[in-house]
Amino acid sequence: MKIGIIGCALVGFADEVKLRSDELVFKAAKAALDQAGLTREDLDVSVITSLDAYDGITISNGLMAPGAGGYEKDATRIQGGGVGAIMSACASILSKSAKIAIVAGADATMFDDPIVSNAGYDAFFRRPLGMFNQAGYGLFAASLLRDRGITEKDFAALAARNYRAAAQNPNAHRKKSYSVDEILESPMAFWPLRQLELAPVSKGGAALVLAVEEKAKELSREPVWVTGIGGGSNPYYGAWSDLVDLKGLKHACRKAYSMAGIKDPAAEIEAVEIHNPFAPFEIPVCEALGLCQKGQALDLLLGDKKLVNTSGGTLGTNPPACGGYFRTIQAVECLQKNGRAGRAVVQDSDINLGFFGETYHVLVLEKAGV
Amino acid sequence: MENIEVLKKEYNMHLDFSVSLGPAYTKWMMGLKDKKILANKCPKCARLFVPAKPFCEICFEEPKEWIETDGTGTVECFTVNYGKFRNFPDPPYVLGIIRVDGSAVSFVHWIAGFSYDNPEEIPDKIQIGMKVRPVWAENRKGDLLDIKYFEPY
Amino acid sequence: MNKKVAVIGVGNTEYTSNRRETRSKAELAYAAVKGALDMAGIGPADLEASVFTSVDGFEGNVRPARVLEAFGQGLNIPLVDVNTGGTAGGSGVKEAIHMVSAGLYDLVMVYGSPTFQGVVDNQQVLNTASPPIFEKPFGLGAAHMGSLYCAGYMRKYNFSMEDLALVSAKSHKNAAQNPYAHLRKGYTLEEILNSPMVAWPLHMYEICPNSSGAVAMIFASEEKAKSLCSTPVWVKAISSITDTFLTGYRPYNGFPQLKILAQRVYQKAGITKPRQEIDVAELFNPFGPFELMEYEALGFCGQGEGVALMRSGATEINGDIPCNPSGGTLCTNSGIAASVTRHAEVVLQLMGKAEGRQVESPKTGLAHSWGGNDGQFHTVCIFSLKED
Repeated sequence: MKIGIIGCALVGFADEVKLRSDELVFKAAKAALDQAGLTREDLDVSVITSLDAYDGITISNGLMAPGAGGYEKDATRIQGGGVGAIMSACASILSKSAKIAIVAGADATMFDDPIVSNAGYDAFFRRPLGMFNQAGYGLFAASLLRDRGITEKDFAALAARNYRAAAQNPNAHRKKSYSVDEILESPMAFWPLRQLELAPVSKGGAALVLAVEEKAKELSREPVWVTGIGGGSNPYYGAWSDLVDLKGLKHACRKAYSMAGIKDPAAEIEAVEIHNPFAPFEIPVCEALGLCQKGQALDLLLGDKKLVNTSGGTLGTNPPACGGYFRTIQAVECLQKNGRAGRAVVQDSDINLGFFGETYHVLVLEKAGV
Repeated sequence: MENIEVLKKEYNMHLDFSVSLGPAYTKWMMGLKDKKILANKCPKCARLFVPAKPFCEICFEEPKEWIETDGTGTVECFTVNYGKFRNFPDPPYVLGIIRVDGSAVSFVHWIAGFSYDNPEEIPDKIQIGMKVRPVWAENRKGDLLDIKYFEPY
Repeated sequence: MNKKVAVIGVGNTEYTSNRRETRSKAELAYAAVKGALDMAGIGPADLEASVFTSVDGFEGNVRPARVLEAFGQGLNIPLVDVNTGGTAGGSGVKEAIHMVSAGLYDLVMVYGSPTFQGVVDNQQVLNTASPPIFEKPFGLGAAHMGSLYCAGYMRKYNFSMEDLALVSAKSHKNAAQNPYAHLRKGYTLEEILNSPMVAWPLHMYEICPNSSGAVAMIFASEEKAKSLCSTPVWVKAISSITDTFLTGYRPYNGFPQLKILAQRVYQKAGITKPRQEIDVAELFNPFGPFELMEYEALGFCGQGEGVALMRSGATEINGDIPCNPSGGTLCTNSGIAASVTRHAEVVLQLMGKAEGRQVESPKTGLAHSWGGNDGQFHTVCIFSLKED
């Protein structure tokens, strides 16, 4: 598979955006189309990613659809993350239903994150216990601490690394750097995670224009190619050990790598953008993605042995709906900026709602001439 | 599974939201505060919009020009509600699709200003194409309900 | 389309009212999915991806798919969550079709959730989909979204209440014979016209009920379809169309966007004479008279001729273009399950498995869905027994 990314745009990201979601998605979509040198007329399909509860409207894609270029066109809305929407656009193109697709989204509405994520749990077994996203992150981090001997200082070091990178990224939401000590001194939010080890909720918009191979070559000098894509899920009432083993993510990887022809990820992948709403999540994800052996992730990350989360990661920028687009666009930029990097992987998920019943997505990107 | 009488449980979801209206929507709403129904115009297809749009969905351009309409319009469609529904106004009420003169698009508001005493007769008092004008609320704050309703004239 | 796609299994539960429902969402999901897998002759381990369709806001759960385990999550397969309002069924089916046609996955399931199960007040809930700030404050609920269209249509062509109510009587009559319908009272024209007026010009029996039940479908690649199924139903074409968000932009006397969409889909499917070439159609009619406007938009008759077509008998089960032989959404509206069901019903008709409501030997069928804030979206899908 070879689908070209021929235009991208990021708008925002901040604590708040002074626009409604239809206006914000329009800005992102128009900018991406402009970059691709195309107009709305050239689009065959428009895919939005969003969640009603993030937007404050039931069937919220209705408000955003025209702003994403979808008026009088074939359009749809995928819930559960940007890379999931990219997968839908790729399926449209590969099934020959479209030659040019746009994926877009906007996080504009202010909502109560813990309440919305709590409402994502069933009303009888988990919601009444106050289960919500950060609680789940705490549980996962606790198992890293107690079952794997990773320390709280390691957590802080990983967070500090992300903040350092975010401070260098003009696209990032949080641009302030923190030292390991400052992070260790921040209040305990959900044991064993401290406040500065948790991601913010960012507002902003994003869009990408994708094209079938022949069109991409015609329209863009050297597009970055999408060469593999896969998804996987975990059950809601499953075994805890399977959850921390990230079985759903590994399932997604197998598919994406097989499509992209990747046999040895540690050797063949140079860059990766990870969805880590809590800092230490980078460790199990690097391992599940096969970037290193189990137990070697800390060394890989702190030694900067690969380009991991050069955007600053999720601690730097975390728009709940557009996050997958943000990570994909940053991975594209990372490939374009780093001569030695030929392949990047984007790991996305819906764990902004928390763990249990979550879905993971993996995208493989390749620079031309690899 | 043997026949047991299953449990029935009740719950509700209460979610609060807050949004910013961008400059186009804001300007239009503030116009209502001054008892003005404004329209903006697409620079490419020249369509006028009441309510104002932040971008034209066909041309994908941002309107820049604004004009003031006199607020009168026509009824494009209507329905009369007779059911009692939670959190909705008491029946009967009339929902109208109103097109302010000159606008390429229409919007929703109430039609009132005549007797509702014989509810079954209300549909007979309304014609599609009927002319209506806004009746303003006393206290206005830059909200669609600054218009109390549209009345036939 | 790239590679061929066929439907090889459908799973249906029985339907009842939400008030009387005692099955949990998990039980309904299991029953529908199991039914589809059984008909397809495969097990859960054969599924490669699942598509879940519903409208979160109506379910009282953000991302309800996550808390259910019936969609292969135990085997870690990808779960795609599609929410485009009332068209989520059509959109979900479209995702599955694209995934198989793209060569990404060979066996994909689509599940239509009982969206309204658990909802205490539907009008209020539908109002949460009404544009906030611009339309929501006016008490615009589901019934009004329907009645506005019917009012405009009625006034434009000077139809009578009886003209409009005839098509609902047909749906009720058909549903009475459908073991998978909710309302099976077979209300007559007289009973419909005597039922209370809810939102002018619609009487209660011209408006869908609040149903509970679920449906699942299995989509397969050509190779899998031919090895597993004796009557695979092939997908010829599917697409969707998008209108503006604010209700006020609709003309309210027909479905012009559906007309545009139909022309596109007919072209992709190679259909030039829909009235002759389509043998059965399931059209989205949560408000009975919608069906009349859909006849016109889909080219089964000319503009303003919907009532005449209905009166001619052509759209009855034994007519030349049977529409809603199942009774349609008017008699069974389990939320987004009703949106997937339009597709499932056409498939069952083509397979000859439409118990109690079978049309005689249909070869080509059309499934339509409608939804979003007052019909912002439509989808149309053409199925056929003919592979090429």
